[in-house]
Amino acid sequence: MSETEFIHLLKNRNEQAFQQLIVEQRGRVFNTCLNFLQSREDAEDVCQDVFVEVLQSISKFKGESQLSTWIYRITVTKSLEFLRKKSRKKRFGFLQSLTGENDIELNLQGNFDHPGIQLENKELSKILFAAIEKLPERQKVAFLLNKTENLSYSEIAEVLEISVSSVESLLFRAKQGLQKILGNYYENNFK
Amino acid sequence: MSASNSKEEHLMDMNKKETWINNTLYSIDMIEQVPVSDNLAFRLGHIYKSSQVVVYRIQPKVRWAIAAALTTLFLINVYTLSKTLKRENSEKAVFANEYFSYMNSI
Repeated sequence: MSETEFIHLLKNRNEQAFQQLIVEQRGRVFNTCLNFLQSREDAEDVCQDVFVEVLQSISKFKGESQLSTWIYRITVTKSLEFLRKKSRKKRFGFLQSLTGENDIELNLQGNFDHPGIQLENKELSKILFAAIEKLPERQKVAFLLNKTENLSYSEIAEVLEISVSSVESLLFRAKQGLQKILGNYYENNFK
Repeated sequence: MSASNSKEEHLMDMNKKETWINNTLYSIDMIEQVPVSDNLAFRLGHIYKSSQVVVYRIQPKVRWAIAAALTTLFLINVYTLSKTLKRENSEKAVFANEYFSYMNSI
């Protein structure tokens, strides 16, 4: 069955097609959520929200991109929405808004429960993900999609609906930013 | 001699720092794919069926309007009750005054 036929079935709310879509995409969606949220529980909730959204908005899908790209886009949007809500709750006032992008202090207090990270890498990964949190949103998305999902520049460009050169620039700035944040962290904690 | 020593130490420190940064950045490549749990698979499998049930959601605006109406109703009740109690108390005081002034006159 071609993708067009499959999308046609989904648009007609065919249950079998929808179940097939879930089975094919759930692993990728769940792992993307996990890499954005670093918590199994949160990732499961957001993953469920993603498929609810897919079911509700499949009629609006125009087929301009691949179905998987469209689902990635929903996954990223939902994960970022979740993070924004969470940080709004945490902030409650102005204390955290005072901290800048390249701040030396990294928030290592939150619960870090990423089952895909081996124990020996947990400490470094925790620091890295805290540093990634400090990046501007688009840089963070581009970096995570490239590094954890192994998406190519053109695939990231499609997900973010920007040009390939913009993706290159985002990734370059993300790497530079991370080096700076981690450098500051090293200076303050290991010297 | 000491200047070259401190230069060497500085270089070693820089190398250590660079290595640590690179190791930290590299740790993201070691992330493994996590399989979907049975619980999540079950939840996802039921999305289609639960989407068939029509759920009437109350919009936040309506929710706030209901809360505001209930609060207003409660406040009106409290206000009226306190007014009534005050009036009853003042009526009792007038009656007691009249009674005692009458008793005194006797």
